[in-house]
Order: sequence, then structure tokens, then C-alpha cells
Amino acid sequence: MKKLVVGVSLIALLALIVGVVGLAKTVPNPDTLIWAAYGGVDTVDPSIGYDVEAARVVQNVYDRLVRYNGASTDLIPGLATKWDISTDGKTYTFYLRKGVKFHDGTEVTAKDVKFSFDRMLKINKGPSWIYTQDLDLNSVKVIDAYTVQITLTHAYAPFLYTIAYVGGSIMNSTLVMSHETNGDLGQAWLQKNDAGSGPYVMTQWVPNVQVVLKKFADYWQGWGGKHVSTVIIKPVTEVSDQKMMLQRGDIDIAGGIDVDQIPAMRGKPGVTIFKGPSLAITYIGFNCQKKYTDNPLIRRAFSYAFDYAGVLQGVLRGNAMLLQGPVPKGLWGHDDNLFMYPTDLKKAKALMAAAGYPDGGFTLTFAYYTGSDINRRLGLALQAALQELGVTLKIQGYTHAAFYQQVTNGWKDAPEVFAWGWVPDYADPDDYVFSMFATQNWGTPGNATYYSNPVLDKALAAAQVATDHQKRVEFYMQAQALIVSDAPWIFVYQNERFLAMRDWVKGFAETYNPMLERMPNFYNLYKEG
Amino acid sequence: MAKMDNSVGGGKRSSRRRLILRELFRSPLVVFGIAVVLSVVVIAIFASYIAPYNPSQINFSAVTAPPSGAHPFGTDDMGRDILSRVIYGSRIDLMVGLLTILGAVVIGLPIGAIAAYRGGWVDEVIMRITDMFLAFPSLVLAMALAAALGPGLIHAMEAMLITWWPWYTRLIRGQVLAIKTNTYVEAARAVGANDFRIILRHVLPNSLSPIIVQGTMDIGNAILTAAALSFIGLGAQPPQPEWGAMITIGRNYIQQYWWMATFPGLAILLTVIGFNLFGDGLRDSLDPRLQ
Amino acid sequence: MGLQIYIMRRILLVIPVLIGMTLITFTVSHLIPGDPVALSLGPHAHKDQIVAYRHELGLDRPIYVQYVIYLKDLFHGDFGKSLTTHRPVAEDLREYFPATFELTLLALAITVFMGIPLGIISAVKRNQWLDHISRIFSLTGVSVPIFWLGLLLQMVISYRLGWLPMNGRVGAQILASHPLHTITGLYIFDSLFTGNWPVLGSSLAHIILPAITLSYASLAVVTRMVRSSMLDVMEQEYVRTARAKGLIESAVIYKHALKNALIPTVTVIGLTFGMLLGGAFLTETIFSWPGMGRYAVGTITSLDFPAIMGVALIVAIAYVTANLLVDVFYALIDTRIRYS
Repeated sequence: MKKLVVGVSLIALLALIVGVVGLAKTVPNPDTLIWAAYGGVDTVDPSIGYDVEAARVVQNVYDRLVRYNGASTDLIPGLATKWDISTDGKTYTFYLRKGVKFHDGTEVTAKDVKFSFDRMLKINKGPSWIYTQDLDLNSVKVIDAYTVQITLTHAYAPFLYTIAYVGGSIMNSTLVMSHETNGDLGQAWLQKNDAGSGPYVMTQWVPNVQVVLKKFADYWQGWGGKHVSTVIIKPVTEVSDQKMMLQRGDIDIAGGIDVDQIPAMRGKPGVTIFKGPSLAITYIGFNCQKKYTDNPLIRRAFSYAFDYAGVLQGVLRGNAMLLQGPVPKGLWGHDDNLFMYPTDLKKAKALMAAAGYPDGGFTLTFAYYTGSDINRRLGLALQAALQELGVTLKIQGYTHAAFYQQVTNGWKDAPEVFAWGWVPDYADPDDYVFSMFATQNWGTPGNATYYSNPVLDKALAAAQVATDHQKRVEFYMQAQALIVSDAPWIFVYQNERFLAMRDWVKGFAETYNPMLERMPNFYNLYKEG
Repeated sequence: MAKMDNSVGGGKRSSRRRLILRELFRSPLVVFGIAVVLSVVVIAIFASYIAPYNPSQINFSAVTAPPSGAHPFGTDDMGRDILSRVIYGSRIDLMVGLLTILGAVVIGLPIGAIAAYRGGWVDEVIMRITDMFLAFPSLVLAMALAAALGPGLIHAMEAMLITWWPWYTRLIRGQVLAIKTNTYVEAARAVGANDFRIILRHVLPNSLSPIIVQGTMDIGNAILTAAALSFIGLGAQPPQPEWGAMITIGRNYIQQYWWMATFPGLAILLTVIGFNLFGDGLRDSLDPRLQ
Repeated sequence: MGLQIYIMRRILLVIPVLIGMTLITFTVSHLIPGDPVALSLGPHAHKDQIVAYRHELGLDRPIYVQYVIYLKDLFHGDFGKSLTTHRPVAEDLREYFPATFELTLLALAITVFMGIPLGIISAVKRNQWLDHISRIFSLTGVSVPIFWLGLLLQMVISYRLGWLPMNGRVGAQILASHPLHTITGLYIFDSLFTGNWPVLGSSLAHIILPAITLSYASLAVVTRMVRSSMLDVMEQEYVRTARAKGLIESAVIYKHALKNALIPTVTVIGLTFGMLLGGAFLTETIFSWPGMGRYAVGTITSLDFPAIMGVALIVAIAYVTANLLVDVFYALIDTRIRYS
């Protein structure tokens, strides 16, 4: 017994020494990349996982018919080598790449494509909302082993972009169905196993501890050039921990450090900060049906009262840009000349007077989700701004689910003001403007402001079915001007993507794609001193 | 009745009181505890006179400033003065601690007294109900309740109250059980006083001292629990300068801006130590065995 | 008769308490405002999608029907399906409970094996400097916010001094290259049993800080308890008698006082187990410990009520069991309370 204890302590001591000495080495484990995530990976089922933690694994374990071209938001062939689109914009024919292997060695064929889309539509969870817009169980047809035809229920211009998203991942139908229990379409199994053809195989999944991806030797793009063979994704929920672990070299990429924390990481030895464009946006929304905030004059007054410069410097530490309209910079359809509200207290007061409240004198509630420290501070900043107008703002934090409930369950019980954000699923203004301002989307987390404008609705519907790109751009420009003048939001900021990582991580900046900002292709990365 | 009260106190109540006080101030640690508690109370009452700044005043040009002459405890991520926030925070934390314990006593006292005095099935039912509540570790139950009620200081206090009252119910029940068979109670009953009156006049006054001791020490616990609830996001709402919430904000910055989490943490530590020492002192001086 | 009947009675009394607990957790979790179903389906879920999922989960039925179904399933070891992980709650708990149990067990060991000696020293050296140090130590323990302590320890010991790992249960690369064959889910035990030395070393290094953080408060409570009950007993008559008989001082202390002081201490250890389980929720959050506490904090913020109820029940059952064991033990060592 005594011997055992001595042995154990010796091992512990050794581990400590190894751990401490390990810090001094230049590129530890050059073939392993460790990504610190904010949360754990609950599922890796492409039909179900819809949070970024799941998407990050799915992105690297599975392939899709089409994919983004490196750093651009243009689409290039993935599992499909080419595709035809019918003139009415409703029928897509995909020709599959031959000889692509799933991780178990079976070939990717047309029946797997049909299976994957049908499975998602049947399960009807997670990302399926994107596809139920224009697909049903009759949509996908197998023409032959390498040809698939997808017929949309109606013309939908963003379709190709939607299948580049992780929800369009192609699964190994034979493997999945061999693990089906009680008609669950393999859900129980696929949650923690992979059935993909992507560059990495998931070899370890310990919930809340780590996910390990190892390279798939038969990956169709091959393994020429520089890559890492192992990727470990590890949840580290404390932001401060991620910062310290990165400096210690425990992790290679700190995926959970938000913009406000970036200045603290600048100039730390061994740490580089990647900066790239992002399409994620943050706004303060007004309930457009409730008393006071239903009045565009008051909403505009608030927009003028908000201290944009102070927030940009004080809260965001200069690491973001002010949001110009709902469609972010960098996505087509963005309008560089769109009006932006400046901070102008005089105008704000004049508008309040015009609305009949020259001295304010009312109280509103501001809701935010407690997971977001920045949103809390946006509330504090707005509170200070509204004080100048004589309006009291009560700040209330909610847990994630309660926040959802508060803002989406009918406007009557919703708070007057709230802070929220949006991360795109597909690279099309439709995912911003239609999702967030169409009357049809009332009470979804998209249109949580209960904003409604019939003129806008018409323009958005027309934009969805139009096949001419220039025409669509015009529709979206018109839509944005309408929205900004109604001020259903305070347009706060558009993220810039900052990522703190060890300087030995290479290949990230060159291949960064804003559509995949939190789920990069690990295939593109490698480590080098 | 007055006569009987005298006999209960042993006829030399004033000298006993003097004894308690002398006992209380004998230990320097207890004196320290009392001094801390008194200071926190004074700071809380006169917060608006003592605090150098408005605790909610945002200043984007002085964000996360380190401790200096202008800001002895530095500023936080909104440029607010941490010293002022710690000072105002004493109001919130003290109030949470006092009200929670007071509430628990107010609920637990009658229920516990009735359980003990009536006995039988009433006692059995009440005790089984407290068993159910006590079967949960209090922090776990408080968390679940606070989540259910929705985040906010008042809800957090309600949640704490629900987890706390059974402890006092049991404490009081035990006290009353011990006293109920004493001769003076028997005597009162023989004289024909009704139950309610007996409980109120004889039983309760004589079971108060352990409750006071427990309560004093529990104020510290309540402050710690409230801070823990804030830490999980279920407690105080911005811009309330509750100490636990301040630590929560500061933890993201602990490595660069150490002052943000350190000072509110010290404030909690010191205050809770104060109440614990005070409670210790009270127990030692009120405990008849040590006299 | 006597003892067995007492123990049987004590076990039977646990049943209504357990049922009551399910009632409390069920009520609490259904009081929760918020729409966990909508949350779990993501931001774009259509109303019919939500309705369908509510139906699948049985949430559209009357609440008392839901409760009866819940109890029935519980009887078969089915805690329902988590809304955040989309897995059976029982499976999640099997995954996360061992981590919490391992941490709590080690913290309990620290509490007992440090608390009792400290308390004895404090009592024996009453009002001497060792006593003062030990009292200040335990006073700080019951007064410090556990999460604040964890943050400070992590900051100083791991980050500034680099002595111990920051967080987590095991080194990422060590586990990736030496997969652990799970037997009990307790990493230290499993790695010891299967001879997985790298994982053993790493697990030990990882558990030290969280265990110290977690144990501090209960360590303080036990120290105080041992000290004061030792003092009580030492005052008592028979100790004086023993002393009068001319026994040497240390023999008096160990033979009489300690033995008697341990009885209330055992009870306190049962209660501190509950403190440890509660504290584990905070400690796990600070140290990214993949246990039930962190799972619970996550499920609370997502209003995932099957999971919340599962966690609360497991914690309560563990706590009730611990106290049952303590009571039985108490009855065994103290004949005076056997028949009450």
C-alpha cells in the first residue's frame, strides 16, 4: 500500500515536471492542434446539431455538395463536381465526384445524398428550418449512382448557399441505418459517432471533456502540403482561463475570447491576434408594438441618444465597427451610403418633444441574455443615454431559455427593449432582412421586434424569387432604407473576427472565411515554429 | 405573569446581561468581529455620504483604470468607481443577509413552535415536510428555485428563504421541546393559560438565544449564497453593485485587472468573518454551560 | 431487535422523503418561465415544429399526468430526455456523476483527514498560537466565497507559478494519445486499475486545486466542530474523573475526549457532504470540471427541466444516502440513541 502511494506521488510529480518543462519548448506537439471552445459538444449529428460547437465538428468530419471557395463567399464544387440549374430556378441537377470514400471505406453515391436530406426533413430539428422552406420529401431524386436531382417547392435564390451550410452534410446511409434503433433513423448512434467523408474522423468524444479528430487517410483531396493529423476540441467555459491557457501554451487557439477581451492579449509573448471580417452583428431591438416603443419618433430619439463612440471605445475597445443597416459590410447587398444615426442629444430631445414626451417620464425594461457580457454593458450604456431624455431603463438579465421566451412569445409580454445578435447561416441578405424584418417571422428570434411593414414585405418576397442578381440587390437596398428610417433597432455594431492563437499556428489567416468564422476547416491549418 | 417572567430569568436578569456583555467583549477576535459588523452597518447607512462617486456613473474614458488616488480601488469595465460600488454594495448584501434570515425566522418560528407544542400528527407532518426540503443541499435547491422564479435579487432572496426556513423550524422545535416540559410551563398550563399565550410568553423568550446565535452566523451564509447565485447569473441585476455580481464581472478580467474581482471579494470575506466572529462571541456568552 | 428495527425504520422513512423530493423538483422545474423546447430547437423553429416536439416529449398533457408518467419512468430508471444534449438524462448523469463523485470524495477525504487532526490540535493547544492559526484558518474557510477562492488559487498557483494545470480533468493530449478504458468513470481509479500511468499522473495533477477549493469550507466546519466538541467533552465530569485517577494528559485526551467528540463530528461530516455537493456546482464552473455541477449550471440556464430534475434528484439521493449511512453509523457507535 505504502509503495503504491509513493508510486502515485512520484508519477504525479513527474507529470508536473513534464508539464512545467513542456512550457519551455518551442512548438510542442507540432502535429496536434488544440482548440479551446466556449461550450461542450452535445451532438455531432448533422441533422440535429445547430449550435456552433456541433457545427465545428460536423464541418470537419463531413463533406457537402458545394463549399465556399477558400476565403471568399463564392461556391465551388465539393462532393458534386458540377451542377445545372433549370431556367425557372426550381430544379438543380448535381453530378457527384466518383471514388470519394466515407470513413468506413464505402463510396459516396446519390442514395446517400437523398438519404441525408430526407433524414433531416423527417427529423425536423436543428438546422432543418433552412431546408423546409423550399424542400419536401419528394424533392430529392436519385437519377443514377452519381447523379441527383433536387426540385424545390418554389424558386428560392439562396438555395445553393443553404446546402453549403453544415446542415447540408452528406451522411453514409448504409452505416447510419445499420445503427437504427426503434425507427430513430440512427439518431442515438449518430449523436456521438461519425458517418462522414470529411478530412477528419472523430475518434474520441468525451462529453464536456474533449472531442478528438484524427486525419482520414483516404480523404478525397489527399494529404499533400502541410496539415495537422490530430485536432483536439476542448471546452473551456471561463474566458479568463482561455486567456491564461493560451499564454501557457496549453491550447493553440482560444476560440472563446470575445472582442472586448482582445486588448488584454495583445503583445503577450507567443500569442498572435488574427483579425478578419465577420458577418455577425449585434443590435438593440425595440418592441414595435408596445406602448412608447411602437412610436418611430421615440425609437429614432433613442437611436440619436445612444453613445456610439463611447460604446465603441469603452465597451468594444475599438475592436468592432458600427453597424450600418441590417446587412453587414462584406456581404453583397450592403449599402455603403445607408444613413447611420449619429449621437445627437438635441435631435433626440426634439424628437421626444415631437412624440409628446419632452421630459420623458416613463419606464422601459431592457432584457439581455446573461451569457453575454457585452450585451449587459450595452444595456448600461443605453440606460445612461435614456436618463438624459428622462426615460428610466430597467435592466433585467435572463437565462438563455428565459430570454428566448421573453422576446419571442408574443409582443404583449415581451420587454420593450432588448439586445441580441445574429450570425448568418447562409451568405445571402435574405438571411438578414427577411429573417429579421418580415411580418411572417414575427415572434421568431429573427423578428423579435414584431416589426411589420407591408411595403417591406412585398419587396422581400419579390427578392426571394427574383433570379436576376442585380434586381435582388436593388430590392435589398430599398428594404434597408425603409428599415433604418423606422428604427426598429439601434444598429450597434458589426463584429470583426478576432481570434487569439499561438504564433506557431499557420494557415488560418490565408483561408479564413467569414461564413465559417467559428468553424474553420482544420484541414487548412498546421503548426510551425 | 410578570412575576413568573422574573422567576424564568432567574431573578437576576440585569446581572446576567452584564455577564453576557463582559463575556462578549473578553475575546479580542469577537471585538474585531463586532467592530467589522458595526462598520459595515454604518457604511451601509451612510453610503451616500461616504462614497466618493455615484456607483452607477458610467465613464467610458476611465474604463478599467488601476487603483489610484482618484479611484482607490480602481474602476470597472464601464469606468465606474469600484470603491463606491463596494460601499453601496454593503447595503445590498447586508439587506439580503438580514432579510433572508429574518424571514426564515419569521416563518420557522411559529411552525416549529406549533410542531413541538402540539406534537402528534401535526409534528409528524411538519417534520416530514422539512425533511423533504432538507434532503437537498441548500445551494442546489436555491439555484433551482432561483432559476425557476427568474433572475433577480428579490427572487434570489425568495429562493433562499424557501431553503432556509426548515432549518429554523427544526431549531425552534428542538428548543421548544426542551423547554415545554419545564416546570414553569407546566405551571402556566396548570393555571389555565391557553397554548398560544404559553408559547408566546414562556416558551419563545426562553428559546431565543440559540436562534439569535444561529441567525447571526447565518447572515454570513446568506450573503455567501446570494453571492453564489449572482455568480451563476441568478442574483442581482445590473447596475446593482452586489458584491457577488461584481466578482462575476471581474472574473473575466482577473488576470489583467485584478482589482475588479479582488475588492468585492475581500468585502464579502471581511463582512462574513465579522458576522461569524460576532455569532461565535454571542454563542460563547449566551451558552450557559460556559458560564 | 433494537438496532435492526431502527435501521429499517430509518430506511423506510427515506421513501416519503424521496417522493416528496420528486414532487418538489417537478413543481420547481415546471414553474420555470421560459420555453425550453423552443430554445432547444434553435432560433428558426417554426411553431408547428415546436408543437410537434412538445407532443413528442409529452409536454402538451396535463401537468399531473406528466408527473405520474415521470414517476413511472423514474421507476424504470428513465429520467427523460435532456433538451440541451438531446440524450437520455440518465446517460448524461452516468457520464457526469463520476467526475463530481471523484472530486467530492477527494474533498471529503481532505476534510476528514485534515479537519479532525486540526480540530484536535486546536482543542489541545487551546488559546495557544497553534489554536489561533487553526481558528483563523477555519474562520476564513467558512467566510470566503468559494468561487472567489477558486479564481484566486487558479490565478496564483496555476497561472503565475505554473505549478498545476489550470482546469479540466485530464491533459488533452494525454487523454487523446492514451484513451482511458472506463470502468467506474473515476479517472484516478480507472487509470490505476488499467495501468494507464500518464492519465493517472495527469488526473492527479488536475484534481488537486479543485479539491482543495471545494474542501476548504467543509474542512473549516469540521475543524470547528471537532475543536468545540473536544472542548465540551474535556470539560465533562468523567474526563475530570479520569484525570483525577492520575492518567497522563494525552491518554485522557485520546481515550475519552476524542472518542466522544467523534460522534457529533460524524454527523457533521454527513452534513458537509451536502455542502460539498453544492460547492461542487461552483467549483466545477471555475475549473471547467466536466461533472454534474457544470452540467447542472448549463441546464439551469437552458431551463432543461428533465436534466435539472435529474441532477437535483441524484444530488438529493446521494445526500440522503450519506446521511442515512451516518445515522446508521451513529447508531452503531452510540448505543444511547438506538431506541429513540
